[in-house]
Amino acid sequence: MAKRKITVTVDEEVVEQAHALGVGPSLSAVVNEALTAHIDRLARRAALGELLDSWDDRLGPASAADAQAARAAFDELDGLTAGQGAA
Amino acid sequence: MTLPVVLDSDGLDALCHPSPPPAFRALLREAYERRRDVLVPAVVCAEACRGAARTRGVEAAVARHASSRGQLPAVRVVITDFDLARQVGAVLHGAGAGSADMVDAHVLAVCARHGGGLVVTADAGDIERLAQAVPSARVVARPAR
Repeated sequence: MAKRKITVTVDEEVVEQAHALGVGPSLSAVVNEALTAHIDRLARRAALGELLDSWDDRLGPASAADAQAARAAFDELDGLTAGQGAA
Repeated sequence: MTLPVVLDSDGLDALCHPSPPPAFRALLREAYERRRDVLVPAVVCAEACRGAARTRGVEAAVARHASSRGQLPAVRVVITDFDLARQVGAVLHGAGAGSADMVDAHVLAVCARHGGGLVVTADAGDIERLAQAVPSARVVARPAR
């Protein structure tokens, strides 16, 4: 794939640690990989947002009860409630 | 670590439906707000792709996006490579389960890879039973409807 040279600003400590770990010569590849992963997630999130909006436009938003149940499920997943996952 | 949403057959069916159930839409809306990935193991697609009509539905559901605006499909299909296959085997072995639980074991293996996940499934009992084999993963199961 064609490459484009850009200037990025990163934390000095991270660069020093990268060099200490021998990442220096391949720093561009590491930055490219991290940026690729980040962009991938953004691109998928954008599609999900459009999909949800299209459903809401056509079907109306989910009820407050469904939204609350969804929030509770994620709170349980994230350990914000007393739930213990699938156990 | 942000734990993803992992679709079992019930979740993939809901995604493919022209009018997805409100509970499913609410789960995905919350996933969107919390910046969670939405994943579906490839083997779950295998379960859903039975007959031309259903296959077309799955194809559309997992491919839907606006590439002209830089988008990628909202749902990421997780391929079964050797590492995942090994994890699937570990789930089956750890739970004392057989090949009949192969698809659900893939769902749990994908969760284990991420430290856990919210599984959209009609078989919460099966997921909970298999989740005992991966105690380090936080797994929550919810139906699509």
